[in-house]
Amino acid sequence: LWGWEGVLDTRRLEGILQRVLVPVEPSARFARRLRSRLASVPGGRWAPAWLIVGLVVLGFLLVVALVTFILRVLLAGNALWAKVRQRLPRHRPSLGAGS
Amino acid sequence: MSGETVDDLQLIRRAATDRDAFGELYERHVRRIYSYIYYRTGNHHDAEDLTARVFQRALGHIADFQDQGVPFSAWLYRIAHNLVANWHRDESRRKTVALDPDATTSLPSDHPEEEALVAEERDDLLAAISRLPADRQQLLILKFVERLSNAEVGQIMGRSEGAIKSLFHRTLRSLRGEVEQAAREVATESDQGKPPSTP
Repeated sequence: LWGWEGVLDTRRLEGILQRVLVPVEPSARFARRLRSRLASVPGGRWAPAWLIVGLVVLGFLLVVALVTFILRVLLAGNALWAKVRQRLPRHRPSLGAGS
Repeated sequence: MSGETVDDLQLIRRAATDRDAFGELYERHVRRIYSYIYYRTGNHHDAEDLTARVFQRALGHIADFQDQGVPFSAWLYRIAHNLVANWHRDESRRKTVALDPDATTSLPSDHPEEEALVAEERDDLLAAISRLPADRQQLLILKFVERLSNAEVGQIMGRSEGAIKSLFHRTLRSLRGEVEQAAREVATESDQGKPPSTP
């Protein structure tokens, strides 16, 4: 393989390296098992964080919307009650004949 | 390598949440990462263990990958390089790493004696490579096993193309020195082992 006599030519060494250093394949069983193991890892690192942040923001917005709706209903009810009371005939108690 | 980069980027964006996208990335790169680690560790058992760790770490940090013009494979090679360096630190008692004998293909030969000689010399060369510094081993594997250009090797090793070219020439010179030294030692041993000539 070497065929050198005292001094190994660099170009020859490159040729030998090209022949000796060849790709080595992993076993099919190992590659398959590793792939299935990677596939079973739950969730990415950032996906749950974004999911939690998204759910918190969504929950906050829902609470704000609900509180706003309840307040509007209460205010509308109050205003309606005020108008109804205005239209009702006022029943004034008599001040008394002797005054 | 650059042709795959566009597709790799699309897969990387999906991979944080989509395991199938990461599976596709895995299929594309597992062979070359395994091959690289195998030549750095010298045995299949550790190559399998470290390859698994490379992809588990890649999966855990896939969202951290930023497209800075460096291919995904270079990112994986860097992870592999760091893990192999840790492995060598842990295995520091081991001075040289012997490669499994069935690891590499042998040259075709009709003569078994010649084949055995070639295998022995191949093992000697691999042993000489394993005695080189880590960055030089990495360079030889990337250039000869993965057939990458100097520019591509430079992206992986974080050096310029010119620096890689220079390192390559220095590596070949030092490897040549290692091989010649080993051959001289073998020649000396065989001379000493000769039976003394009878008068």
